[in-house]
Amino acid sequence: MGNCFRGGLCVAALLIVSMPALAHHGAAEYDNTKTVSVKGTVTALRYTNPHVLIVFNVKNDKGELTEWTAESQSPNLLSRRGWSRSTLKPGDEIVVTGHPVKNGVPAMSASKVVFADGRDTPNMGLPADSSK
Amino acid sequence: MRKRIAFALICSLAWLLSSSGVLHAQAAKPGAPGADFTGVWYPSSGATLGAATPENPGQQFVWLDEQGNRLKGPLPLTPWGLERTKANRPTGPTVTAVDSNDPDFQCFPSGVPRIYLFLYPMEIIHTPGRVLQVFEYGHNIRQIFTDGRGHAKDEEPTWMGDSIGHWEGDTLVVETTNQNDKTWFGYGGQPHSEALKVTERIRRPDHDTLTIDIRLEDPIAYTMTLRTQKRYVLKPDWNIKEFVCEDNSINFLDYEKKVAIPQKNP
Repeated sequence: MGNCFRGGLCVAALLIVSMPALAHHGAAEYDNTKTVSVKGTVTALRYTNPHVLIVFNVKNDKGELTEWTAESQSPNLLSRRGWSRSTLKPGDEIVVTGHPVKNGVPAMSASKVVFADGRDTPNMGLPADSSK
Repeated sequence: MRKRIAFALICSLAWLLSSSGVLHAQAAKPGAPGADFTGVWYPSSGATLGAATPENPGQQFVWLDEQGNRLKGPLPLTPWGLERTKANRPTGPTVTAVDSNDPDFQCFPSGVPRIYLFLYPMEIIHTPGRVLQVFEYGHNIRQIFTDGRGHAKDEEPTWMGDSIGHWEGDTLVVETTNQNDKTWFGYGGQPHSEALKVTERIRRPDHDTLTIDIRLEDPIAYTMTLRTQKRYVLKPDWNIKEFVCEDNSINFLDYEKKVAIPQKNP
């Protein structure tokens, strides 16, 4: 994973992770056969329906910035998981894990976000007790 | 003397308040003991029978036949149903929301039974003569009339249809007709006609659980009766939050266009 943090992007594993909540508008745009972890600096957290978008800048080895967007669950669902609109603030260093889009633009789904110093953000998944 | 009058007034007021409370409680329990579904409910995983599986991740129904056997293969469509299915363009491996004609993405009400598929809570409110379902998803509000009236006559079909309910012991039996034929049964683009009749049996088998047995009869679109089931869990500390579908395009369309897969034959 260390290389991921330096290079900004890496393919962490070939995992099939279902994200049913994203099915609201389909998940065809994401390549579910690939899971990536991307490190960057938050520029905005768009905490709005139907799905939260995390906008962050990723710096490559030459110091050039690329703006990435990561899509997550609905704000309603995330709020019930402990998120709020101030969970991520501009300037926060984060590592986002999820599936990249198929068309190659710098965008991805977000199934997990941790701060670069190792602190966790609240779980983004479906409520743990949803299988009751 | 003044103290006695004041005391009598307070007692009268308390009696009035408590008696109106009793009336309210009676209205909230129109059937047998247990026939009170008041509360906020969240769909349990799998949304249907049992836990979610890779083939049923939770936002589609598990279809059963009349006898309760799980259907295998495609749904039993009539030629009319097949034609409608071909015209529908659901999201899939190569079709994103931008390219789909799913009515859900245009913020239309989802109809019954599809409204049960979304992973958002619903609140049930009992009022005299009506049971209300307040769905967080799309802010759909469904009125189930339990005052003995029949179905409306000569009305134009609507997105959520006309729902009439009655109590059989602790079970609320709801019959819904007069839905328009524009809604789908799910993300797969399963069609139905205006002849669709939905019969639900809603029960609360224990304090924390609500089950809804759903029966779909639509001889114009399907060659047989379809059945399915939904299960909800009580969320005592939740309330319904705002969800305005029309926000979606404002907040999201630029992102949808950015990540869309280029279509070879638009």
